[in-house]
Order: sequence, then C-alpha cells, then structure tokens
Amino acid sequence: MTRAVAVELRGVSCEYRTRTGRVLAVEKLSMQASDREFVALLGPSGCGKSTLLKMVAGLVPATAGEVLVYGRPVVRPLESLGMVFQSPVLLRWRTVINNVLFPAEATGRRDAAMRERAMALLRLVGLTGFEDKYPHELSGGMAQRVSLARALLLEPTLLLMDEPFGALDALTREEMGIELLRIWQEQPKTILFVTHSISESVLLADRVIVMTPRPGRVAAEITIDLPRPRSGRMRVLPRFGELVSVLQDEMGIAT
Amino acid sequence: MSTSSGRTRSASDRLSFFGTPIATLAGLVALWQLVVSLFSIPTFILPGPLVVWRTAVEFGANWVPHVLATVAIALLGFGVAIVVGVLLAIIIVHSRTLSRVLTPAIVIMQIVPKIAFAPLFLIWFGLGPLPIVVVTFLVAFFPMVVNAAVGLAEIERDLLDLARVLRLNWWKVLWSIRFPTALPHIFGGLKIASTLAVIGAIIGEFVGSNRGLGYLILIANNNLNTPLALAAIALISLFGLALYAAIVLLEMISLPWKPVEAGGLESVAQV
Repeated sequence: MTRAVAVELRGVSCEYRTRTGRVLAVEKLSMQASDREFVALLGPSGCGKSTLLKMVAGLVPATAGEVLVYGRPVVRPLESLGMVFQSPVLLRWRTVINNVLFPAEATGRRDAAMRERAMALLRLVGLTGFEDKYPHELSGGMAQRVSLARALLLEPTLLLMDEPFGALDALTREEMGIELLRIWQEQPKTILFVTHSISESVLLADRVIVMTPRPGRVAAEITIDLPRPRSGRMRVLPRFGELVSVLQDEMGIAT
Repeated sequence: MSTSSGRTRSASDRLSFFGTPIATLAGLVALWQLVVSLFSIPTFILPGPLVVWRTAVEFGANWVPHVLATVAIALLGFGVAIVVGVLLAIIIVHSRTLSRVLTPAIVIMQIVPKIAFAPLFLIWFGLGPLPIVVVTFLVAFFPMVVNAAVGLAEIERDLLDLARVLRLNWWKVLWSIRFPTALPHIFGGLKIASTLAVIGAIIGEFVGSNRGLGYLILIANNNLNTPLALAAIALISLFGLALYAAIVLLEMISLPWKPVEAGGLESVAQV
C-alpha cells in the first residue's frame, strides 16, 4: 500500500531572531507524511514542533531546506489548509455558526450550501443547538469543537493541529481525541498533530515522530500498530503500554 | 460565564438603573432650593432651581438658535474627531515608521494648551464656526486615537496566523477582525470624547462667537443675569448627557456579544 506523499520536509532548518539573539528552532529536519496519514509530532515544550507546523502552513519561512506539500514548495499558506491552534481563537462578536462560516465568508464563498455544511459540521462535533450562542457562553471544550468545525469547513486536504487539546482537562481531552478520530474516519485527510503528551500521540496517530529538544531534529519515528477504530479502552492493552514506554525512552524519560 | 448581566436584566434592575440616578439628581435639586430659601441668597448670586426654571421657560423660542449652534458645532467637532482619530489609529497600527512620526506629534498636540490657542484660531480661521469646530475637534480627538489604536492593536497572534492561513488581505483583516475587536475600546473613546466635545464647543464659543450657549452664558454673566446663565449651563449638561446616553445605547445594540454592565463608569475606566 503506497500512498502519495502529502508533506515532505528535506533538511529543513529554521532560525529566528529574538530580543536576546538568534534561536535555532529546527535544524536539518527531514520527515514525510503520506496522504491521509495521521502523524503526531511529539516533543518537549520549546522543541520547535510548533515552528515546524508553521513552516508547513507557510506562516514561517524555512531558513534552509525544502518544505513540500503535495510536491509543491510552500511559500505562502496553501488554499487546502485547515489549522487548529491551542486556543480556539474564535471571533467573540460572532455566533457559533458565524464563526464556523468565517472562512467561507472571508474568502467570498458564503452561500446556502456552505451554511448547510456548517450545520452538518456542528452536528459532527456535537454542537447541534448551539449555533446562535456566543463564544463567551461556551466551555473550553465546546469552543475548541467550534474551532475544529471552522477548520474543516472548506474541506482541507491537510489539517494542521498545534496542541489543540492542550488547554483542556484530561477527560475532555481524551473525549475530543476520540471524536477527532471519528471525524477523520468519516472525512479522511492528512493530519499533522503537535502534542507533548505521549499517551495522546499513541492513542491517535498512525505514526509518531519524536523530536529532540531545541534545536528540533527527528529523534525517532515510531509506527503505532494499534488497530482502528481506537478507543480510550485501548490504554489497558499491553501493546499500548509498550508503545508508551518506547516513546518515553526516546524522549529520555526514565521509567 | 455571567449570563445574568447584560441583555437579560430584570424589571427591578431596570427600575434601579434609571431610578437611582434620577432620584439622586432630584435630591440634589431639592437641597439646592432648600439652601437658597433657607439663607435667602440673592438671585444674582445663586438663584434657586425654581427661578432658573421660570427664566428658562420665559426665554422660550430665543433658545432655539443658541442650542442649535452649540449642538451643531459639538457634533461636527465630535464627528471630525471620530473620523480623524480612527484613521490615525489605523495608520499607527499598520506602520511602525508612521507610528514613530505620528505618536509624538499627537501627544504634543494633546499637551499644548488648546484653550490658549483658541484666540489664535480666530486669526487663522476667521470669525464664524470654523475656529470653534477646530477647538472642539482638538479637545476631543486624543482619547479617540488612543483608544482606537489600543483596540486595533489588540489582536492575538494565533488570530493573525488564522487570517494568514485564510489568505485575507490587510483590508479584510482590518474590517472583519481588527475593527470588531477594537469596538469596545472605540466605544470607551467615544464616551470620553463626547463629553470633551461639548466642553470644547463651549470653550470655543467663549473665545469668539455671536451665537450658542457658551456665548449666551457670557452675555448673561455681563448682565448679572445669573438665572439665565445657570439655565444655559443646565441645557448644556442635558445635551452632554443625551449624547453620552446615545453612545451607551449604541454600544449595547452593537456589542451583543459583550455583557455590558449598563454603561457604568467602569466601562470607561477599563480602557
């Protein structure tokens, strides 16, 4: 089973300037993600995984190397791109439905069909009946669901997620992860998922790329061979524990 | 999540919202009348509210040109302050270079005593409403610029990234993200600027005019007609209050997402 390469990084470095000097966030990093693959980028805080994601998004230029999405070099954000951030970044003056519709409206594609699609997405993320609420009336988990629905509106082929559930409590976090998998099963797309949670990466991903502390490089790539569909109950499987301890070793955590 | 505040106020809340300030005002007026009557203060020094009221009613249609003149000038100066203030804020937020040039100029303009310049404006802009509008504008525009600039600059990094992922141009970012984000701040600026615009108009009229409530106060003072002067001051205050109330109302209508705490002063102080 060979699938097209969705994302490819070849010897990519990223250096940026701060007030105190230059920081090498990512150094000579190479990786690939296949079409419709769920890849988790795992690493300690400040290892450059967010920078990596932003380079794929075309938000931050690589200072060396090549970033390719479906074979084309990334110079600016691509059209078929969905992005979910750690905070929901909803527009607080817009209702839930109008937040989900914002990408369509901003790009001049809002119509009745788009509205249908937005309603369907709200159903998909379990927010039917909340269309006309304002963001300040939502819980953190609900707000992040809206943010996910918004990212899915224009049917992106590539979904970039930057610690999307990092700000949620453990229970909501797992629930959201399982829900993301269900959505991904229904609408397959390539997902790059940044996280610093080992168990989250094992639960969700096809493959986990472990990054070193700054400057970020690939420390290891681990294929997660747990069956799909996944559920929270898989945590008790011996294989789950094995994979977690392998990743812990790779991240240099003594067990 | 406070859902009890803002749009869903109960009837008793609403009564105290309007009732308390009115009762306070009525109490003060009653105290004023009491003091004047009790100590038999002469009318030319301090007339009681009843005398002021009678004078105001007797003045009748004579009020019309003066009120119209002051209202027109205050609104015009306020309007120019809003437009110029918001435009300057947009420039400051978008260009670091222009911000470095403009910010000191704006601050200096605020520090310079504008009232002292008012007589010079008569020389520069001639007699008539123009110099008064200029004074009004100068007095009112500073809080507009500052508040609008703070609001327009207040945008999360991730939100800017989202805008770039959606490939929005700067105009779309300004119109559909920055401007709505800035609105609460802009309303804070409007509240302060509205009160200043009324003051600015009166100052301008003091310095050079032949019409308007400010002019009328000068004339009444010269004739020791204290009741008329006080009546004019009361009308000015009423106008300022109406303008402020209109802005608070507009704010409540246009910010349905924000639980407005009934337009209390804290919503000004916050910004």
